[in-house]
Amino acid sequence: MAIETPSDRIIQMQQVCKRYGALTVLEDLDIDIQRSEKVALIGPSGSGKSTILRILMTLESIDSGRVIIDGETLYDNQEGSTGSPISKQQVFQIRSKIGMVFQSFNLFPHMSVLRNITEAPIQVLKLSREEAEKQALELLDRVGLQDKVNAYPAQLSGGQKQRVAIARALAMQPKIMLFDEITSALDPELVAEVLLVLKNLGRETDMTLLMVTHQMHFAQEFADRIIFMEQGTIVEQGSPEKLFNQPQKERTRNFLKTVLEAT
Amino acid sequence: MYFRRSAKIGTLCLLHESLTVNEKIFDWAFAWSLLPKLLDALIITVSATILGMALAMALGLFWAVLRKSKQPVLHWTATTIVEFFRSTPLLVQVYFLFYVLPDAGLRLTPFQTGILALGIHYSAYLAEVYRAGIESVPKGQWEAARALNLSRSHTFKAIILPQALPPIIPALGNYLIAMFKDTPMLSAITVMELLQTAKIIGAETFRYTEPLTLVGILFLILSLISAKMIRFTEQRYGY
Repeated sequence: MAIETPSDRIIQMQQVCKRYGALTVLEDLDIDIQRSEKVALIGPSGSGKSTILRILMTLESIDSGRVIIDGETLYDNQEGSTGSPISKQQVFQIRSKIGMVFQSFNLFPHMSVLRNITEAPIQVLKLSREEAEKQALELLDRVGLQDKVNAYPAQLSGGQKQRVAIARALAMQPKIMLFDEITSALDPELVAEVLLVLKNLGRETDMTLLMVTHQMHFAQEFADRIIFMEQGTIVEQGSPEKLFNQPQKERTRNFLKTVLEAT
Repeated sequence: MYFRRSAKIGTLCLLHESLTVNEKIFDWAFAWSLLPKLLDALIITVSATILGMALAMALGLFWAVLRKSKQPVLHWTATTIVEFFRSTPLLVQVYFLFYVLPDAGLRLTPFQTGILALGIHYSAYLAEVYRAGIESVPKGQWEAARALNLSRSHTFKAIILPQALPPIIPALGNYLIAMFKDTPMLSAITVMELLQTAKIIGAETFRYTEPLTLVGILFLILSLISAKMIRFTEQRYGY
């Protein structure tokens, strides 16, 4: 099916619905994300923010709607039909454009830091060991952990683990990076080092960055656009200045008041 | 009170008399002379255990992987096979393979048949052990591998299995010892393992005490050694 995709929109989600049994997680959700845009998803827990990232990473399917990533259709399901499943090869193709960093790190505990970062580039991108290791060292340098190259995940602090996880995702050379509450499992004093890596990344790269976060100040400083979600729908979105300083909706005001008072 | 005590002494005397009148109840020299023969049989027993366990571990993993398959046919075939082998007695399976395989045109020595029976029977138990190990690996590991675009088979081999195995070493060890203690079943199909050898010695000499005692002791020693080795492996590879 030929779908008209303006090249400036790298992620398009249209009328996406996602349910777990009776629970509706996303309802008729529309999101467009521009190439190289940095977007922060905020909102109370259970509002469906993480689900969006998991759908894009193909870790979850959708019940209906349409998802197009970088011009390739991941889902095109009408309500009630199962839609035509795309081939494994196409899923592989789409996934190769996206990297994801998880709240709980999910490093491979039986592999050294180096191997955590080189495993997929060697297996999937078919890089030679030398190339993959060279790249891994550069990435570790970028996240400030070159001295941990031979360490095992269990020997690292939470902040260090998350920085390795970022390097691991970057090693796959994605166009889009998804960050799913990557500081939520960290002790408060370790949050800053991870956010610093993210800030530098945002400055240096032209990748599209999509993050779910509870760090409001960081989101305000980092993102081009903030999307505030509640109960599976977008309540309000806009530039950080606009959303944080002049929220239009009552619900947005209440949410911001609650979280900003807490921090 | 007095009566009871005298009665007790009386029986003790009788017992003592019978011991001296009859031959010695345990003839150490005779037992010693049996040792080389029993040690030969022990080699058969140990080889059957090691080979049987190797087969069970490979086959068990195979069932476990099939059971995880998304193809209903593969899943249900494996499940049925595992349930069947777990729910029927080992001895029946041993006899069945021994008498039926030749009819089916497959000629195996009793020893080979025995290994096959032990391997198949225990593979059904090990499939469950593997399954528990695989399920103990956090879901996030599968998701991280998927996000990195690693194939399912490579994920299983390089990410999941290395994490699934260390926690199940104790369970694998238990089954190794259980299988070792089940090898006397192979005497039913004329494998010259420990028990069969002891029975033959008994039939020839009309003395069963020494060979059977030795068999018990040999099993005990080897089981204890295996348990120690398993504990060591567990400490070495667990994290």
